[in-house]
Amino acid sequence: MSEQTLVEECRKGNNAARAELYRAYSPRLMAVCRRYASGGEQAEDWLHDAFLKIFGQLDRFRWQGEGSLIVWMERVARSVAIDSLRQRRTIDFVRPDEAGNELADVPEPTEDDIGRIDEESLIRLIGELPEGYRVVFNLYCIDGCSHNEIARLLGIKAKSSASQLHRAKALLAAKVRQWTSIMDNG
Amino acid sequence: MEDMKQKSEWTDALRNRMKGAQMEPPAGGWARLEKELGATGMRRERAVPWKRVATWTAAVAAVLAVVFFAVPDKGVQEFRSSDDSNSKGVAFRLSDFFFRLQTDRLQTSDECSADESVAGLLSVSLKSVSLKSKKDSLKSEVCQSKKDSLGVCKSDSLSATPPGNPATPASSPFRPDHWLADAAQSSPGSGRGKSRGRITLGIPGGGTGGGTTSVMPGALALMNGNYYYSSRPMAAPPAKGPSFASNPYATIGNYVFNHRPELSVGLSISYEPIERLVLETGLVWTTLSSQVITPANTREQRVQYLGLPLYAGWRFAGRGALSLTLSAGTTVERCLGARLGTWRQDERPWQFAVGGQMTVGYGLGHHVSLAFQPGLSYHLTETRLTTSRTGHPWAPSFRLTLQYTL
Repeated sequence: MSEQTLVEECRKGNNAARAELYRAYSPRLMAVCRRYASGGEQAEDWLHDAFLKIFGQLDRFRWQGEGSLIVWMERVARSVAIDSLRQRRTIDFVRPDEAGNELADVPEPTEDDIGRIDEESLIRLIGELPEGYRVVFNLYCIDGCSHNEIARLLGIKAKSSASQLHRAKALLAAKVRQWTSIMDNG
Repeated sequence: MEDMKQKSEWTDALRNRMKGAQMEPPAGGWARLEKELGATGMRRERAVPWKRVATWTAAVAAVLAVVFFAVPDKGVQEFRSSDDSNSKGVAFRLSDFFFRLQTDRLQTSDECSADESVAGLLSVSLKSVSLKSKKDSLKSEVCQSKKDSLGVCKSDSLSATPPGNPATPASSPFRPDHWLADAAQSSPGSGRGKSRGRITLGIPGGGTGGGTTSVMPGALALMNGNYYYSSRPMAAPPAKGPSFASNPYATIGNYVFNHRPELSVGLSISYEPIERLVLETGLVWTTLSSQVITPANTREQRVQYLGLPLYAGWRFAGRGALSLTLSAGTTVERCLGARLGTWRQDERPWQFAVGGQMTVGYGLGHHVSLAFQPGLSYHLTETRLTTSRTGHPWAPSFRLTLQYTL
Protein backbone atom coordinates (compact mmCIF):
# COMPACT_ATOMS: atom_id res chain seq x y z
CA MET A 1 0.00 0.00 0.00
CA SER A 2 1.43 3.39 -0.99
CA GLU A 3 1.85 6.19 1.53
CA GLN A 4 -1.00 8.12 -0.01
CA THR A 5 -3.37 5.17 0.08
CA LEU A 6 -2.30 4.41 3.61
CA VAL A 7 -3.11 7.96 4.67
CA GLU A 8 -6.48 7.88 2.95
CA GLU A 9 -7.42 4.62 4.63
CA CYS A 10 -6.28 5.91 8.01
CA ARG A 11 -8.40 9.01 7.50
CA LYS A 12 -11.40 6.77 6.91
CA GLY A 13 -10.74 5.11 10.26
CA ASN A 14 -9.51 1.83 8.85
CA ASN A 15 -7.75 0.16 11.76
CA ALA A 16 -5.84 -2.25 9.54
CA ALA A 17 -4.31 0.72 7.73
CA ARG A 18 -3.51 2.35 11.02
CA ALA A 19 -1.81 -0.79 12.25
CA GLU A 20 0.27 -0.83 9.09
CA LEU A 21 1.19 2.81 9.51
CA TYR A 22 2.21 2.10 13.08
CA ARG A 23 4.32 -0.89 12.11
CA ALA A 24 6.01 1.02 9.30
CA TYR A 25 6.84 4.19 11.12
CA SER A 26 6.91 3.53 14.84
CA PRO A 27 10.65 2.58 14.88
CA ARG A 28 11.53 5.95 13.32
CA LEU A 29 9.30 7.87 15.70
CA MET A 30 10.56 5.85 18.65
CA ALA A 31 14.08 7.03 17.81
CA VAL A 32 12.89 10.63 17.75
CA CYS A 33 11.10 10.29 21.07
CA ARG A 34 14.02 8.47 22.63
CA ARG A 35 16.38 11.30 21.64
CA TYR A 36 14.29 13.79 23.58
CA ALA A 37 13.40 11.54 26.50
CA SER A 38 15.42 10.84 29.57
CA GLY A 39 14.26 7.24 29.68
CA GLY A 40 12.61 4.52 27.66
CA GLU A 41 9.31 4.74 29.50
CA GLN A 42 8.91 8.43 28.79
CA ALA A 43 9.72 7.81 25.13
CA GLU A 44 7.11 5.07 24.93
CA ASP A 45 4.46 7.38 26.35
CA TRP A 46 5.37 10.07 23.85
CA LEU A 47 5.28 7.58 21.00
CA HIS A 48 1.79 6.57 22.04
CA ASP A 49 0.65 10.19 22.31
CA ALA A 50 2.30 11.03 19.01
CA PHE A 51 0.37 8.33 17.18
CA LEU A 52 -2.87 9.43 18.80
CA LYS A 53 -2.17 12.93 17.58
CA ILE A 54 -1.15 11.71 14.14
CA PHE A 55 -4.35 9.73 13.67
CA GLY A 56 -6.36 12.64 14.99
CA GLN A 57 -4.71 15.22 12.78
CA LEU A 58 -4.27 13.29 9.56
CA ASP A 59 -6.78 15.61 7.93
CA ARG A 60 -4.27 18.40 8.29
CA PHE A 61 -1.54 16.47 6.52
CA ARG A 62 -0.92 17.52 2.93
CA TRP A 63 0.83 15.10 0.66
CA GLN A 64 3.94 16.69 -0.84
CA GLY A 65 5.63 13.71 -2.34
CA GLU A 66 7.28 10.52 -1.13
CA GLY A 67 8.83 10.98 2.29
CA SER A 68 6.64 13.91 3.28
CA LEU A 69 4.59 11.68 5.57
CA ILE A 70 7.49 10.64 7.78
CA VAL A 71 8.76 14.23 7.93
CA TRP A 72 5.34 15.36 9.13
CA MET A 73 5.05 12.47 11.58
CA GLU A 74 8.47 13.18 13.04
CA ARG A 75 7.47 16.81 13.48
CA VAL A 76 4.34 15.73 15.34
CA ALA A 77 6.37 13.41 17.57
CA ARG A 78 8.83 16.19 18.31
CA SER A 79 6.06 18.61 19.20
CA VAL A 80 4.51 16.02 21.51
CA ALA A 81 7.84 15.67 23.29
CA ILE A 82 8.43 19.43 23.54
CA ASP A 83 4.86 20.11 24.65
CA SER A 84 5.14 17.46 27.32
CA LEU A 85 8.37 18.95 28.61
CA ARG A 86 6.90 22.45 28.51
CA GLN A 87 3.73 21.38 30.29
CA ARG A 88 5.86 20.18 33.16
CA ARG A 89 7.34 23.68 33.10
CA THR A 90 10.46 22.27 34.58
CA ILE A 91 12.89 21.82 31.74
CA ASP A 92 16.00 21.67 33.79
CA PHE A 93 18.41 24.09 32.20
CA VAL A 94 21.83 23.89 33.76
CA ARG A 95 23.03 27.39 34.51
CA PRO A 96 26.53 28.26 33.26
CA ASP A 97 27.73 28.94 36.77
CA GLU A 98 26.53 25.50 37.88
CA ALA A 99 28.36 23.65 35.15
CA GLY A 100 31.98 22.83 35.68
CA ASN A 101 34.75 23.93 33.33
CA GLU A 102 36.38 20.54 33.24
CA LEU A 103 34.82 19.86 29.81
CA ALA A 104 36.35 22.88 28.19
CA ASP A 105 39.45 21.04 27.04
CA VAL A 106 37.82 17.84 25.81
CA PRO A 107 38.83 17.27 22.19
CA GLU A 108 35.95 16.97 19.75
CA PRO A 109 35.20 13.53 18.36
CA THR A 110 35.84 12.86 14.71
CA GLU A 111 33.39 11.73 12.07
CA ASP A 112 34.99 8.30 12.33
CA ASP A 113 34.26 8.19 16.03
CA ILE A 114 30.59 8.85 15.30
CA GLY A 115 30.59 6.22 12.56
CA ARG A 116 31.91 3.56 14.91
CA ILE A 117 29.03 3.86 17.35
CA ASP A 118 25.73 2.21 16.54
CA GLU A 119 22.59 4.35 16.27
CA GLU A 120 20.94 3.03 19.38
CA SER A 121 24.01 3.75 21.49
CA LEU A 122 24.26 7.25 20.05
CA ILE A 123 20.65 7.88 20.95
CA ARG A 124 21.26 6.61 24.45
CA LEU A 125 24.29 8.88 24.81
CA ILE A 126 22.18 11.86 23.80
CA GLY A 127 19.51 10.70 26.21
CA GLU A 128 22.04 10.79 29.04
CA LEU A 129 22.51 14.53 28.68
CA PRO A 130 20.79 16.77 31.24
CA GLU A 131 17.31 17.71 30.07
CA GLY A 132 18.03 21.28 29.02
CA TYR A 133 21.19 20.28 27.15
CA ARG A 134 19.45 17.35 25.52
CA VAL A 135 16.50 19.33 24.22
CA VAL A 136 18.59 22.17 22.86
CA PHE A 137 21.14 19.80 21.30
CA ASN A 138 18.41 17.80 19.58
CA LEU A 139 16.61 20.87 18.31
CA TYR A 140 19.73 22.59 17.04
CA CYS A 141 22.12 19.88 15.87
CA ILE A 142 19.72 17.21 14.68
CA ASP A 143 16.42 18.89 13.87
CA GLY A 144 18.04 22.02 12.46
CA CYS A 145 16.29 24.71 14.48
CA SER A 146 17.95 28.08 14.96
CA HIS A 147 18.59 29.51 18.41
CA ASN A 148 15.78 31.99 17.89
CA GLU A 149 13.38 29.19 17.07
CA ILE A 150 14.54 27.23 20.10
CA ALA A 151 14.12 30.31 22.25
CA ARG A 152 10.54 30.70 21.04
CA LEU A 153 9.79 27.01 21.50
CA LEU A 154 11.17 26.73 24.99
CA GLY A 155 10.49 30.23 26.27
CA ILE A 156 14.14 31.00 26.89
CA LYS A 157 16.57 33.56 25.53
CA ALA A 158 18.51 32.80 22.35
CA LYS A 159 21.75 33.39 24.24
CA SER A 160 20.72 30.88 26.82
CA SER A 161 20.04 28.38 24.06
CA ALA A 162 23.51 28.95 22.62
CA SER A 163 25.06 28.52 26.02
CA GLN A 164 23.18 25.28 26.66
CA LEU A 165 24.22 23.98 23.25
CA HIS A 166 27.86 24.80 23.83
CA ARG A 167 27.88 22.80 27.05
CA ALA A 168 25.76 20.03 25.60
CA LYS A 169 28.26 19.55 22.81
CA ALA A 170 31.17 19.49 25.20
CA LEU A 171 29.47 16.94 27.42
CA LEU A 172 28.37 14.74 24.54
CA ALA A 173 31.83 14.94 22.99
CA ALA A 174 33.29 13.67 26.26
CA LYS A 175 30.79 10.82 26.35
CA VAL A 176 31.53 9.85 22.75
CA ARG A 177 35.26 9.93 23.40
CA GLN A 178 34.80 7.82 26.47
CA TRP A 179 32.70 5.34 24.54
CA THR A 180 35.22 5.03 21.74
CA SER A 181 38.10 4.63 24.16
CA ILE A 182 36.25 1.77 25.85
CA MET A 183 35.72 0.20 22.43
CA ASP A 184 39.43 0.68 21.61
CA ASN A 185 40.47 -0.94 24.86
CA GLY A 186 38.30 -3.93 24.15
CA MET B 1 27.64 33.65 12.57
CA GLU B 2 26.94 32.13 15.91
CA ASP B 3 25.05 29.33 14.21
CA MET B 4 27.99 28.64 11.96
CA LYS B 5 30.39 28.53 14.89
CA GLN B 6 28.29 26.01 16.75
CA LYS B 7 28.07 23.51 13.94
CA SER B 8 30.94 21.11 13.52
CA GLU B 9 31.79 18.07 11.47
CA TRP B 10 31.05 15.58 14.17
CA THR B 11 27.61 17.03 14.89
CA ASP B 12 26.86 16.96 11.15
CA ALA B 13 27.89 13.33 11.09
CA LEU B 14 25.71 12.70 14.11
CA ARG B 15 22.74 14.35 12.42
CA ASN B 16 23.20 12.19 9.32
CA ARG B 17 23.25 9.09 11.49
CA MET B 18 20.13 10.19 13.31
CA LYS B 19 18.18 10.98 10.15
CA GLY B 20 17.15 7.44 9.48
CA ALA B 21 17.65 6.11 12.99
CA GLN B 22 15.25 3.50 14.24
CA MET B 23 14.54 1.97 17.62
CA GLU B 24 12.39 -0.92 18.63
CA PRO B 25 8.93 0.33 19.62
CA PRO B 26 7.43 -1.05 22.81
CA ALA B 27 5.86 -4.48 22.69
CA GLY B 28 2.09 -4.20 22.68
CA GLY B 29 2.28 -0.58 21.59
CA TRP B 30 -0.23 -0.99 18.81
CA ALA B 31 -2.63 -3.01 20.98
CA ARG B 32 -2.67 -0.20 23.54
CA LEU B 33 -3.17 2.34 20.83
CA GLU B 34 -5.93 0.35 19.16
CA LYS B 35 -7.77 0.06 22.44
CA GLU B 36 -7.64 3.81 22.90
CA LEU B 37 -8.65 4.56 19.36
CA GLY B 38 -11.78 2.55 19.89
CA ALA B 39 -13.61 0.03 17.81
CA THR B 40 -15.15 2.68 15.56
CA GLY B 41 -11.76 3.99 14.65
CA MET B 42 -12.47 7.42 16.08
CA ARG B 43 -9.71 9.02 18.04
CA ARG B 44 -11.06 9.09 21.53
CA GLU B 45 -8.75 11.76 22.88
CA ARG B 46 -9.70 14.23 20.20
CA ALA B 47 -13.42 13.89 20.77
CA VAL B 48 -14.98 16.15 23.37
CA PRO B 49 -15.51 14.09 26.53
CA TRP B 50 -19.22 14.89 26.67
CA LYS B 51 -19.77 12.72 29.70
CA ARG B 52 -17.30 14.72 31.75
CA VAL B 53 -18.51 18.03 30.38
CA ALA B 54 -22.10 17.04 31.16
CA THR B 55 -21.11 15.98 34.67
CA TRP B 56 -19.38 19.27 35.31
CA THR B 57 -22.22 21.27 33.84
CA ALA B 58 -24.74 19.41 35.96
CA ALA B 59 -22.65 19.91 39.08
CA VAL B 60 -22.32 23.64 38.46
CA ALA B 61 -26.03 23.93 37.64
CA ALA B 62 -26.88 22.11 40.86
CA VAL B 63 -24.71 24.44 42.91
CA LEU B 64 -26.27 27.45 41.22
CA ALA B 65 -29.76 26.12 41.78
CA VAL B 66 -29.09 25.50 45.45
CA VAL B 67 -27.55 28.91 45.93
CA PHE B 68 -30.25 30.67 43.95
CA PHE B 69 -33.33 28.94 45.31
CA ALA B 70 -32.41 27.46 48.64
CA VAL B 71 -30.65 30.41 50.23
CA PRO B 72 -33.30 32.36 52.12
CA ASP B 73 -33.91 35.75 50.63
CA LYS B 74 -35.93 38.23 52.56
CA GLY B 75 -36.72 39.98 49.30
CA VAL B 76 -38.91 37.17 48.09
CA GLN B 77 -42.48 38.26 47.75
CA GLU B 78 -45.45 36.58 46.29
CA PHE B 79 -48.36 38.15 44.52
CA ARG B 80 -51.52 36.54 43.46
CA SER B 81 -53.99 38.11 41.18
CA SER B 82 -57.31 38.46 42.84
CA ASP B 83 -59.04 41.42 41.34
CA ASP B 84 -59.34 40.22 37.78
CA SER B 85 -61.71 37.36 37.17
CA ASN B 86 -60.14 36.56 33.81
CA SER B 87 -56.69 36.26 35.20
CA LYS B 88 -55.81 33.26 37.26
CA GLY B 89 -52.13 33.58 37.30
CA VAL B 90 -49.55 33.42 39.96
CA ALA B 91 -46.73 35.87 40.11
CA PHE B 92 -43.91 36.11 42.50
CA ARG B 93 -40.74 38.03 42.89
CA LEU B 94 -37.51 36.34 43.72
CA SER B 95 -34.62 38.61 44.42
CA ASP B 96 -34.49 41.09 41.53
CA PHE B 97 -36.45 38.96 39.14
CA PHE B 98 -40.09 38.73 38.47
CA PHE B 99 -41.62 35.38 37.67
CA ARG B 100 -45.10 34.99 36.34
CA LEU B 101 -46.86 31.68 36.00
CA GLN B 102 -50.14 31.74 34.13
CA THR B 103 -52.20 28.62 34.13
CA ASP B 104 -55.39 30.08 32.74
CA ARG B 105 -56.60 32.47 30.12
CA LEU B 106 -55.79 36.09 30.57
CA GLN B 107 -58.20 38.71 29.38
CA THR B 108 -57.64 39.39 25.71
CA SER B 109 -58.23 42.83 24.40
CA ASP B 110 -57.57 44.46 21.07
CA GLU B 111 -56.20 47.45 22.84
CA CYS B 112 -53.69 45.50 24.79
CA SER B 113 -50.38 44.26 23.57
CA ALA B 114 -49.80 40.74 22.43
CA ASP B 115 -47.74 40.24 25.50
CA GLU B 116 -50.87 40.39 27.57
CA SER B 117 -52.76 37.98 25.35
CA VAL B 118 -51.17 34.78 26.41
CA ALA B 119 -54.02 32.36 26.19
CA GLY B 120 -54.23 28.84 27.43
CA LEU B 121 -50.56 28.52 27.91
CA LEU B 122 -48.25 28.11 30.80
CA SER B 123 -45.76 30.88 30.52
CA VAL B 124 -42.88 31.89 32.71
CA SER B 125 -41.43 35.32 32.28
CA LEU B 126 -38.20 36.43 33.83
CA LYS B 127 -37.94 40.17 34.11
CA SER B 128 -36.47 42.78 36.31
CA VAL B 129 -38.95 43.94 38.89
CA SER B 130 -38.40 47.57 38.17
CA LEU B 131 -38.80 47.07 34.45
CA LYS B 132 -41.87 44.97 34.96
CA SER B 133 -43.58 47.33 37.31
CA LYS B 134 -42.89 50.24 34.97
CA LYS B 135 -44.30 48.26 32.09
CA ASP B 136 -47.36 47.33 34.09
CA SER B 137 -47.90 50.96 34.93
CA LEU B 138 -47.85 51.98 31.28
CA LYS B 139 -50.22 49.20 30.42
CA SER B 140 -52.60 50.22 33.12
CA GLU B 141 -52.77 53.63 31.54
CA VAL B 142 -53.35 52.27 28.02
CA CYS B 143 -55.74 49.55 28.97
CA GLN B 144 -58.09 51.62 31.02
CA SER B 145 -60.65 48.89 31.29
CA LYS B 146 -58.22 46.51 32.73
CA LYS B 147 -56.66 46.47 36.10
CA ASP B 148 -53.21 45.26 36.76
CA SER B 149 -53.85 41.58 36.67
CA LEU B 150 -50.91 40.76 38.83
CA GLY B 151 -51.58 43.28 41.53
CA VAL B 152 -47.97 44.24 41.88
CA CYS B 153 -48.75 47.86 42.60
CA LYS B 154 -51.20 47.09 45.30
CA SER B 155 -48.76 44.91 47.07
CA ASP B 156 -46.18 47.62 47.14
CA SER B 157 -46.11 49.58 50.32
CA LEU B 158 -45.22 52.78 48.48
CA SER B 159 -48.45 54.17 47.15
CA ALA B 160 -48.19 57.81 48.00
CA THR B 161 -47.88 60.59 45.44
CA PRO B 162 -44.28 61.43 44.80
CA PRO B 163 -43.08 64.78 46.01
CA GLY B 164 -43.04 67.48 43.38
CA ASN B 165 -44.29 65.26 40.65
CA PRO B 166 -47.67 66.57 39.56
CA ALA B 167 -47.36 64.96 36.16
CA THR B 168 -47.97 61.55 37.60
CA PRO B 169 -51.42 60.42 36.52
CA ALA B 170 -53.82 60.11 39.37
CA SER B 171 -54.93 56.74 38.14
CA SER B 172 -51.43 55.41 38.18
CA PRO B 173 -50.31 54.34 41.58
CA PHE B 174 -47.02 55.75 42.63
CA ARG B 175 -44.12 53.44 42.83
CA PRO B 176 -40.58 54.18 43.78
CA ASP B 177 -39.27 53.63 40.28
CA HIS B 178 -41.50 56.46 38.96
CA TRP B 179 -40.03 58.86 41.38
CA LEU B 180 -36.54 57.61 40.79
CA ALA B 181 -36.96 57.64 37.04
CA ASP B 182 -38.04 61.24 37.30
CA ALA B 183 -34.92 61.97 39.23
CA ALA B 184 -32.81 60.21 36.66
CA GLN B 185 -34.34 62.11 33.77
CA SER B 186 -33.26 65.38 35.20
CA SER B 187 -29.70 64.26 35.73
CA PRO B 188 -26.93 64.05 33.19
CA GLY B 189 -25.38 60.70 32.33
CA SER B 190 -28.35 58.73 33.47
CA GLY B 191 -29.31 56.86 30.34
CA ARG B 192 -29.44 53.46 31.85
CA GLY B 193 -31.36 54.49 34.90
CA LYS B 194 -33.97 56.11 32.75
CA SER B 195 -34.64 53.03 30.76
CA ARG B 196 -34.81 50.84 33.82
CA GLY B 197 -36.96 53.24 35.78
CA ARG B 198 -34.32 53.44 38.45
CA ILE B 199 -31.96 56.15 39.43
CA THR B 200 -28.52 55.89 37.99
CA LEU B 201 -26.54 59.02 38.05
CA GLY B 202 -23.04 59.42 36.83
CA ILE B 203 -20.67 61.57 34.90
CA PRO B 204 -17.78 59.43 33.75
CA GLY B 205 -14.23 60.64 34.07
CA GLY B 206 -12.40 62.80 36.50
CA GLY B 207 -12.19 60.17 39.18
CA THR B 208 -9.24 59.19 41.23
CA GLY B 209 -7.13 56.15 40.65
CA GLY B 210 -8.53 55.48 37.21
CA GLY B 211 -12.10 55.27 38.43
CA THR B 212 -15.14 57.34 37.55
CA THR B 213 -16.93 60.19 39.22
CA SER B 214 -20.63 60.64 39.69
CA VAL B 215 -22.09 63.94 40.76
CA MET B 216 -25.41 63.62 42.45
CA PRO B 217 -27.44 66.71 43.13
CA GLY B 218 -30.34 66.22 45.42
CA ALA B 219 -31.25 64.33 48.48
CA LEU B 220 -30.83 60.90 49.90
CA ALA B 221 -34.04 59.29 50.98
CA LEU B 222 -35.04 56.12 52.69
CA MET B 223 -37.76 54.12 51.07
CA ASN B 224 -38.85 50.70 52.05
CA GLY B 225 -35.64 50.17 53.91
CA ASN B 226 -33.51 51.15 50.91
CA TYR B 227 -31.80 54.42 50.22
CA TYR B 228 -32.43 56.34 47.05
CA TYR B 229 -31.42 59.68 45.70
CA SER B 230 -33.65 62.34 44.28
CA SER B 231 -32.52 65.02 41.87
CA ARG B 232 -34.81 67.53 43.50
CA PRO B 233 -34.80 68.55 47.11
CA MET B 234 -37.74 67.34 49.08
CA ALA B 235 -39.33 69.94 51.30
CA ALA B 236 -40.90 67.35 53.47
CA PRO B 237 -41.31 63.63 53.29
CA PRO B 238 -44.70 62.49 52.11
CA ALA B 239 -47.06 61.12 54.67
CA LYS B 240 -46.67 57.67 53.29
CA GLY B 241 -43.71 56.55 51.31
CA PRO B 242 -40.33 58.22 50.98
CA SER B 243 -38.87 59.61 54.11
CA PHE B 244 -35.54 60.94 55.14
CA ALA B 245 -33.36 58.59 57.03
CA SER B 246 -31.73 59.67 60.19
CA ASN B 247 -28.29 59.42 58.75
CA PRO B 248 -25.63 62.07 58.24
CA TYR B 249 -25.89 61.92 54.46
CA ALA B 250 -29.57 62.62 54.14
CA THR B 251 -29.00 66.26 53.47
CA ILE B 252 -29.77 68.42 50.52
CA GLY B 253 -26.72 69.08 48.42
CA ASN B 254 -24.35 67.55 45.92
CA TYR B 255 -22.82 64.15 46.38
CA VAL B 256 -19.66 63.32 44.52
CA PHE B 257 -18.71 59.71 44.03
CA ASN B 258 -15.14 58.88 43.11
CA HIS B 259 -15.27 55.28 42.01
CA ARG B 260 -12.18 53.16 42.09
CA PRO B 261 -11.51 50.33 39.64
CA GLU B 262 -13.21 47.06 40.42
CA LEU B 263 -10.77 44.64 42.01
CA SER B 264 -11.25 40.92 42.48
CA VAL B 265 -9.30 38.04 43.89
CA GLY B 266 -10.28 34.43 43.71
CA LEU B 267 -9.68 30.76 43.33
CA SER B 268 -10.55 29.01 40.13
CA ILE B 269 -10.56 25.61 38.54
CA SER B 270 -9.93 25.27 34.85
CA TYR B 271 -10.31 22.31 32.59
CA GLU B 272 -9.35 21.66 28.99
CA PRO B 273 -11.81 19.14 27.51
CA ILE B 274 -10.07 19.51 24.19
CA GLU B 275 -6.77 21.08 23.35
CA ARG B 276 -6.81 24.86 23.97
CA LEU B 277 -10.49 25.01 24.91
CA VAL B 278 -10.53 26.17 28.53
CA LEU B 279 -13.54 25.95 30.84
CA GLU B 280 -13.22 27.86 34.05
CA THR B 281 -15.17 28.33 37.22
CA GLY B 282 -14.41 29.19 40.82
CA LEU B 283 -15.09 31.71 43.54
CA VAL B 284 -14.24 35.37 43.23
CA TRP B 285 -14.35 38.03 45.90
CA THR B 286 -14.96 41.51 44.52
CA THR B 287 -14.82 44.91 46.15
CA LEU B 288 -16.44 48.01 44.71
CA SER B 289 -14.90 50.95 46.42
CA SER B 290 -15.97 54.59 46.13
CA GLN B 291 -15.11 57.79 47.88
CA VAL B 292 -18.30 59.69 48.68
CA ILE B 293 -17.90 63.42 49.11
CA THR B 294 -20.78 65.33 50.63
CA PRO B 295 -20.82 69.00 51.52
CA ALA B 296 -20.21 67.95 55.10
CA ASN B 297 -17.58 65.27 54.88
CA THR B 298 -16.00 62.44 52.93
CA ARG B 299 -16.70 58.80 53.48
CA GLU B 300 -15.68 55.51 51.96
CA GLN B 301 -18.29 53.27 50.41
CA ARG B 302 -17.48 49.58 50.02
CA VAL B 303 -19.66 46.93 48.47
CA GLN B 304 -18.43 43.35 48.52
CA TYR B 305 -19.52 40.41 46.44
CA LEU B 306 -18.74 36.72 46.27
CA GLY B 307 -19.06 35.62 42.67
CA LEU B 308 -19.25 32.39 40.74
CA PRO B 309 -17.85 32.86 37.24
CA LEU B 310 -18.50 30.43 34.41
CA TYR B 311 -16.21 31.11 31.50
CA ALA B 312 -15.19 29.33 28.34
CA GLY B 313 -12.13 30.42 26.47
CA TRP B 314 -9.46 29.69 23.94
CA ARG B 315 -5.83 29.43 24.96
CA PHE B 316 -4.31 31.07 21.93
CA ALA B 317 -0.73 31.58 22.97
CA GLY B 318 1.84 30.31 25.38
CA ARG B 319 5.51 30.63 26.00
CA GLY B 320 7.25 28.81 28.77
CA ALA B 321 5.24 29.18 31.92
CA LEU B 322 3.16 32.00 30.43
CA SER B 323 -0.12 31.44 28.67
CA LEU B 324 -2.74 33.74 27.17
CA THR B 325 -6.40 32.87 27.04
CA LEU B 326 -9.34 34.84 25.71
CA SER B 327 -12.62 33.86 27.28
CA ALA B 328 -16.20 34.89 27.70
CA GLY B 329 -18.91 33.89 30.08
CA THR B 330 -21.14 34.89 32.90
CA THR B 331 -20.77 35.68 36.57
CA VAL B 332 -23.34 35.40 39.32
CA GLU B 333 -22.52 37.43 42.41
CA ARG B 334 -23.95 37.43 45.88
CA CYS B 335 -23.62 40.66 47.84
CA LEU B 336 -21.79 40.04 51.08
CA GLY B 337 -22.24 43.50 52.47
CA ALA B 338 -22.20 47.19 51.79
CA ARG B 339 -21.04 50.02 53.99
CA LEU B 340 -20.81 53.75 53.70
CA GLY B 341 -18.30 54.66 56.34
CA THR B 342 -19.54 52.74 59.35
CA TRP B 343 -23.10 52.91 58.15
CA ARG B 344 -24.49 49.65 56.82
CA GLN B 345 -26.34 49.85 53.52
CA ASP B 346 -28.81 47.70 51.74
CA GLU B 347 -27.88 46.34 48.36
CA ARG B 348 -29.48 43.89 46.01
CA PRO B 349 -28.44 40.37 46.98
CA TRP B 350 -27.71 39.13 43.47
CA GLN B 351 -25.85 40.57 40.55
CA PHE B 352 -25.61 39.03 37.12
CA ALA B 353 -23.07 39.91 34.51
CA VAL B 354 -21.75 38.69 31.19
CA GLY B 355 -18.41 39.62 29.81
CA GLY B 356 -15.09 38.79 28.36
CA GLN B 357 -11.62 38.62 29.77
CA MET B 358 -8.04 38.00 28.88
CA THR B 359 -6.21 35.62 31.16
CA VAL B 360 -2.49 35.97 31.53
CA GLY B 361 -1.46 32.83 33.33
CA TYR B 362 1.88 32.08 34.90
CA GLY B 363 2.53 28.49 35.81
CA LEU B 364 3.69 27.95 39.36
CA GLY B 365 3.69 24.20 39.09
CA HIS B 366 2.31 21.32 37.14
CA HIS B 367 -1.31 22.15 37.93
CA VAL B 368 -1.24 25.50 39.69
CA SER B 369 -0.90 28.87 38.05
CA LEU B 370 -1.39 32.49 38.92
CA ALA B 371 -3.76 34.28 36.57
CA PHE B 372 -4.19 37.97 36.03
CA GLN B 373 -7.51 38.55 34.33
CA PRO B 374 -8.34 42.01 33.07
CA GLY B 375 -11.80 42.03 31.59
CA LEU B 376 -14.90 43.90 30.64
CA SER B 377 -18.27 42.96 32.07
CA TYR B 378 -21.78 43.98 31.20
CA HIS B 379 -23.82 44.05 34.38
CA LEU B 380 -27.36 42.91 33.77
CA THR B 381 -28.51 43.76 37.25
CA GLU B 382 -28.18 47.31 38.38
CA THR B 383 -26.74 48.10 41.73
CA ARG B 384 -29.12 49.74 44.14
CA LEU B 385 -26.35 51.86 45.52
CA THR B 386 -24.27 54.21 43.44
CA THR B 387 -21.17 52.24 42.52
CA SER B 388 -18.72 52.12 39.66
CA ARG B 389 -21.22 49.86 37.88
CA THR B 390 -24.09 52.30 38.22
CA GLY B 391 -24.88 54.08 35.02
CA HIS B 392 -22.02 52.29 33.30
CA PRO B 393 -23.12 48.72 32.64
CA TRP B 394 -19.87 48.05 30.83
CA ALA B 395 -17.37 48.03 33.64
CA PRO B 396 -13.70 47.07 33.47
CA SER B 397 -12.46 44.66 36.09
CA PHE B 398 -9.12 43.37 37.26
CA ARG B 399 -9.02 39.93 38.74
CA LEU B 400 -6.16 38.02 40.31
CA THR B 401 -6.80 34.31 40.56
CA LEU B 402 -4.99 31.27 41.82
CA GLN B 403 -5.90 28.70 39.24
CA TYR B 404 -5.89 24.94 39.47
CA THR B 405 -5.86 23.12 36.16
CA LEU B 406 -7.47 19.70 36.13
